[in-house]
Amino acid sequence: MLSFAFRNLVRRPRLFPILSIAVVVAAALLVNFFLRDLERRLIQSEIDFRFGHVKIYPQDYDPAGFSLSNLILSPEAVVHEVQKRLIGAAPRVRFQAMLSSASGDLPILVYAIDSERDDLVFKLREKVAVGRYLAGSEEAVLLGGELAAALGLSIGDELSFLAQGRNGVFHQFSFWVKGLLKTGDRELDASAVFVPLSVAQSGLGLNRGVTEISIRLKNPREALSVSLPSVQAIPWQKMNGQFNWLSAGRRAILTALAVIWLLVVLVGAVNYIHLARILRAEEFAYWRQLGLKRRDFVRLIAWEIGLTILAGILLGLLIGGIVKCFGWL
Amino acid sequence: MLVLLDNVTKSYAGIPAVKNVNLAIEAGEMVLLYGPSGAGKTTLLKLIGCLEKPDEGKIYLESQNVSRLRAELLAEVRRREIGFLTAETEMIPVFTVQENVELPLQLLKQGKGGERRERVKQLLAELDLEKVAGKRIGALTPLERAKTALAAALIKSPSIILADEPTARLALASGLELIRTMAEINQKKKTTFLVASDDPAFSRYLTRTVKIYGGVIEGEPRPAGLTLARNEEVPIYDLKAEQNA
Repeated sequence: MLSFAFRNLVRRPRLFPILSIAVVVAAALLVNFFLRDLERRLIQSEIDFRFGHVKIYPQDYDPAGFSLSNLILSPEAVVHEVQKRLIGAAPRVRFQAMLSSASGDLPILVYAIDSERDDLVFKLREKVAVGRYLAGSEEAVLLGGELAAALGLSIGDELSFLAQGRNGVFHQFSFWVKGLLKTGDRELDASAVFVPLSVAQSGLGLNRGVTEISIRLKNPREALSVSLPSVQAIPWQKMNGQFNWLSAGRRAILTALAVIWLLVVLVGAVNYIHLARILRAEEFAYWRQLGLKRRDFVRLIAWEIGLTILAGILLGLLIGGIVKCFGWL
Repeated sequence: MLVLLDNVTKSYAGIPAVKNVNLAIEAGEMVLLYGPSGAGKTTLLKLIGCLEKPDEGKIYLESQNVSRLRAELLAEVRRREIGFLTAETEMIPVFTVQENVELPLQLLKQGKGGERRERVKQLLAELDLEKVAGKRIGALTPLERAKTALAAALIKSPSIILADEPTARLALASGLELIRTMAEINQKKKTTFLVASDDPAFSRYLTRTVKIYGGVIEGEPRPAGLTLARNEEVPIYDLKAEQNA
């Protein structure tokens, strides 16, 4: 029956059901490609500019609280145990500050970085669109391009902001703008300022303490196995579940497409059987004369429907694959 | 006796199509079942061809009572023993002549591909259909199509070929040619034919004419010798036994 069904399908292809199934399969494939790519890019951006492969916080530290009371006092000692597995470790101090401008006060997010060590973990240097990257402990800042535009700042201009130190005393920081960033990360470009670590530590009274250490591993997949005493080590795979919505969204869309696909198949199959009974009545009568049994008829129709679905899936995969390969998405 | 009908009656929605029909056909006969449209010819052929079951009476094929067999077994009887040829026979439109004629052998799983094709080739040559072997049914002339249907009926060497108005869609000359071809095959291969037609002109090519009017066959006595039939309760086509074998 399979060979008869195959011959029937090849010589009398049912283009409409095949194409319907193919379109849904191709759409599902492309949506999956698109969302996976988006997810991968977002995660990569997070790893490259903010998180690294593993983020280390002090024990009981709340990253959303921006507190300076709970610090890692000796970054080198913390990463010592995993030193051989590292490409680099970047200590950072992340704090909130208030920037005064002509248009009023503006809250900003300040990242205090050790430019040389940060370079081993993050890719900020590549994203300096105008000006140059930070070097040493000069009193200079890197500024998100959008933030600079909003403040009307350009390279060489002065920038001042106020931040509360560890001892509760406010400190006024003054820097000159050395570079403007264009990372593609909305939050960094619109509200982040990067300053030299030593300057921030000194101004905020942190000594050598940092609020976080980001590490880049030689093998990113080993992130899950990094475990350090007395600190929180969060692998990139578990970065606050902030991309869970994307995965959930992708799953929801794919489930919806699967339901549509099943409906197309179901309606197609019912339609196929109905039409076959009308349009192929003479052919079926002939099959009956030839001694075809009821179960043979069922098998013949089932094979024809199965092969039609298979053809639709293969065509859909082909279309989806071609669109993906040629980057038409 | 190849075919034996004993007091067979068949009704549709309470209206009798054939009534108390008795008929005996010997192997090698070529019988014309003559009657006007609506006389019950097609119903009778469907009964003998195991496409329908009688309401009353018994039908014997090769001394076996087939009138009460299950649908699966009737299909098996059709597959092995009956060849059909009708004016409406379109066969499988997407298959070529060669494939259509080979199909009954494939369903019977007779021989390997090469052997089957060789057998089909020989038969097509006998019927002058070699040149159209690769064509699909839709590309044939009505006579070629009718001959292809005849070839498909003949290929499995059935006990009987039931031809229902085989010339109805043919021009007179083509119809005569088809009947002559059937008569030649009957002479040469002793194939049994039962040809239903409302055209008495064909009777000179056939060995016997049976007339049917209003579902009743005239002048055919209730066949004697029914007691010679084998045990009616044991069907010849026992699928289970066949599968076990």
